[in-house]
Amino acid sequence: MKARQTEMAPEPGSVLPAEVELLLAGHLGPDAAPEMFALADVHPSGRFGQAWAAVGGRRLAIADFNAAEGPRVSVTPLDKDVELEIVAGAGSSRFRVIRQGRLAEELRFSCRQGKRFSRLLHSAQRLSRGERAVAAGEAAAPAEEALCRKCGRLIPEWADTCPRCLHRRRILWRLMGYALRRKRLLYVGFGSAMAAAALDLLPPKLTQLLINNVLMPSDHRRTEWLWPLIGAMAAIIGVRVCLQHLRLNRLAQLGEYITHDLRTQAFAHLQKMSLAYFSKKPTGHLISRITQDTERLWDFVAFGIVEVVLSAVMVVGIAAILFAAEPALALLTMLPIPLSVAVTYFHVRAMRAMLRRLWAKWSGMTGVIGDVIPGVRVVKAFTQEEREIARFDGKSAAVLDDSVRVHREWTMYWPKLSLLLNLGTFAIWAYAAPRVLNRRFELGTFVMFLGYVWMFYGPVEHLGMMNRMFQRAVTSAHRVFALLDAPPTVYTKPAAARGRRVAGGIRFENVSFSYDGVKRVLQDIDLVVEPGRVIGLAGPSGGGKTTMINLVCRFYDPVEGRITIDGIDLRDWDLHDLRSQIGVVLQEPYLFQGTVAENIGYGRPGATMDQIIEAARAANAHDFIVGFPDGYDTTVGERGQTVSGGERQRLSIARAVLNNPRILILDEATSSVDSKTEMKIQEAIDRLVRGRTTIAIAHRLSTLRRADRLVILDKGKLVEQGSHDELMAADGMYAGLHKTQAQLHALFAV
Amino acid sequence: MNTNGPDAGLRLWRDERGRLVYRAAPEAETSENVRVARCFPWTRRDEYVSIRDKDEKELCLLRSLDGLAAETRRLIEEELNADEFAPRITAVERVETMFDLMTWKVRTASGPVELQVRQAEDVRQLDSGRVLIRDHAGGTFQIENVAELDARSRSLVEEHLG
Ligand SMILES: Nc1ncnc2c1ncn2[C@@H]1O[C@H](COP(=O)(O)OP(=O)(O)OP(=O)(O)O)[C@@H](O)[C@H]1O
Ligand SMILES: [Mg+2]
Repeated sequence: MKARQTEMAPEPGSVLPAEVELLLAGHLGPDAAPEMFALADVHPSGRFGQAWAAVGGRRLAIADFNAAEGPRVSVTPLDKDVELEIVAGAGSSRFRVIRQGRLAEELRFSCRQGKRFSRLLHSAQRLSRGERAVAAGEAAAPAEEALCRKCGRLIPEWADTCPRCLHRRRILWRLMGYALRRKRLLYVGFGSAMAAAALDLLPPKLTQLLINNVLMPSDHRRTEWLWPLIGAMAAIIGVRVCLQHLRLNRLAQLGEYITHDLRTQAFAHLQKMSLAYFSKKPTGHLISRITQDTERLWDFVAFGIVEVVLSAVMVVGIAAILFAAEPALALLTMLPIPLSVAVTYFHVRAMRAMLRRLWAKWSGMTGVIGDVIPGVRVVKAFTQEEREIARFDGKSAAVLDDSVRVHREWTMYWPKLSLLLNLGTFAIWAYAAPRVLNRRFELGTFVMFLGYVWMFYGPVEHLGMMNRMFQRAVTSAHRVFALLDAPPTVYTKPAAARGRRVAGGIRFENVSFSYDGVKRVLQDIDLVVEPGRVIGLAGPSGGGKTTMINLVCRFYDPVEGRITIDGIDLRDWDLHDLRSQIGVVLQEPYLFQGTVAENIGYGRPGATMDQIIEAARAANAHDFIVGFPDGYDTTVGERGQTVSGGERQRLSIARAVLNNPRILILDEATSSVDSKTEMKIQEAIDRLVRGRTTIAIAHRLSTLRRADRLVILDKGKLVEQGSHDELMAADGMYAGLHKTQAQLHALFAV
Repeated sequence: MNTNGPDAGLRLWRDERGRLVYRAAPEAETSENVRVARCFPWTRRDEYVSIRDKDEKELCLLRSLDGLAAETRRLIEEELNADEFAPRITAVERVETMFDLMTWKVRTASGPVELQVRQAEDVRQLDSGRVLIRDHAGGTFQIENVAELDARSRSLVEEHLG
């Protein structure tokens, strides 16, 4: 196991080098320090390059190190004559400074500097409007530059937790901590494993005694030892069986407890994580962390560690016995051992690479099956059966090739290993047999050596695999611990007041938001919603409507600006208080596997049947539910009865209103249903919005007619707001959308 | 919309702001702030180039760049190259793994660089044999043909293919 303590250089671009700061000093203004900076890491020619841009004191300075003749500094005052833009490309983007309508500077940067340039651009734009470089509500350091809570060093953005603090050895210790929670199991299991190993060493020794001192005729023959020796052998066999059972049973149990602890902790921690964490990680990875990785640790704790320790003990023990008996022969016998361990080590390494490749080919092959079976109708419709067969044949042949290679490798390994160990046997024969004949070597000792040499097989294999086993276990443990240690980005502040009631006034103050830190999905949104009002949110697809309500629910925190409810910043609310008083119907309503009643009551575990029926009635869902043969006991969700889109919508509306929320959020509650169902849902909504602050999103503008005010979002900007009449009179985007829809309606009404 | 490819009358130039301006034919209207994009950035690099306006509406799809006025063609190529950055790896010096996290020290056609790779799955081999490495920030680095690397680099790459 390599325990490397790598000192990592900081990410390029994350710190402003002293010489650049020196170069820029004075250029930003008399005593202005760079408030924000970014590194343009690509030379215009496409090689890596270096140019720095920094803002501060209402100026933008660029220090360009790309030219051969030496660094060049240019300064641009940030006033109304300046336009700044980022031209986003695939892999590399450009930052442009346009002064009085002319291109003044163009810097090229790669993906890894994207977030910094995005921040730089926005802060420069704020400076040019005469505002501060860092917006109110914006974290002083970007989130990706979190400092490790343990060592205080920068956590690289690509890791969930500080890798330096999750060092290999420490990880193993931490894993052992879980084992130590069940001390009895650990001690009994480990103790019996050691005892069994010690017993394993005895039989050849007894054989030696038996032959030399009992069976062979000699002067100091002790025939009275015969039966005690046979008895001892029987006892050893009997006790070993018991120890073996104890060891396997206790350690397997211990492993199960550890996995259970880790699994449940990981799942519980996952529930605390913010949405941003889930959208970054594919679901499959999270599932495999909770299941596969913990499973692997079971294997390691229950068997791996013990095997390795025992193997080492065995080799040392056997060596001690052999050397005590006949040092010269012992040396000969042991010679092939280091070589065997080395052979095993390289074998395991080669196998790993091959198995990985085989695995990739394998998943390519199963991918074809997984692709074709669900798509079988398309295959048949286009009569492409032959082509799919050929595709599968190709993938299967690739699997065959690699499998053959894998078999070649391991079928070479085993004979090699046995050859090496047989060399030991051969050495014993060649050395000892002639000497036994000349009576210079005792027969019993000869037999004992032969008995021990076969006992090297197991330990050699385990020692050769040790490195790989530790690697795997440490990697799995790291994945699990990294999950356990990842801090949620959205959390309740310790100082937040508990049990506050929501009155319902929502306010967006200059809110900007970005999912990835580069592209702004919302830009400077200002919006006031008085308690009890109904706001209709509309605009083109991708405009940021769902994002806005994600922020109201505090699934994410804004990048800039703040959102308040009843005048209190969302970040100062208790998360539970907040979310339990907001009822949400999501754009893609999700039903869990369970009954209709369980699904409606999901957000309020203690709800009575009366309350559930009342909520279903309010959502116009009662009638169709009673129409199901199993009524409220109908199983829905995955594998249950499939409900239609409109029914699903109404069930999720019922779920949202069960808590009697103060704020109701409806994201496309009437999408993808026929007009009659839409009317039913609309009717329910009209009833539910009374007395509640409501934000309703709809593409069909007709469904927003009850809204007190309409808000139009386009490309992340709030472009219009007002009543229907006001917006029609303004003849802007809303009027345009409205006219198109009216035309469509007329077209189909004919 | 013109999809017939080469058109000697088609012009593209930069305005003073550095943005591209497009005109389909000498008499036609000009469109400002346009952008060019490859339709097949991996498989057909020099064919099918789309010219798009600032609202991402296609103005023209060029089947090939042949037959364009020399200056226009040069400008298109310059723009396409400026948007792309997927350095070709010429040698792998070292791969350090720390759990799942890998640090690749490589030499590329753009210069030496250190890549932080988040997980084994980010090093993939395509069916064509090309190896793509995605670093933590989403940047792509490529090896066109592993067989052309030196022996040491090749074994490092093969050992770490996800
Ligand atoms: N989890 C996410 N991660 C990254 N980008 C996202 C995420 N969710 C949405 N986006 C992007 O943010 C932008 C706004 O998305 P949003 O869902 O808010 O649009 P919308 O107005 O609700 O659209 P629609 O009317 O189609 O529902 C889109 O460009 C989208 O691609
Ligand atoms: Mg949406």
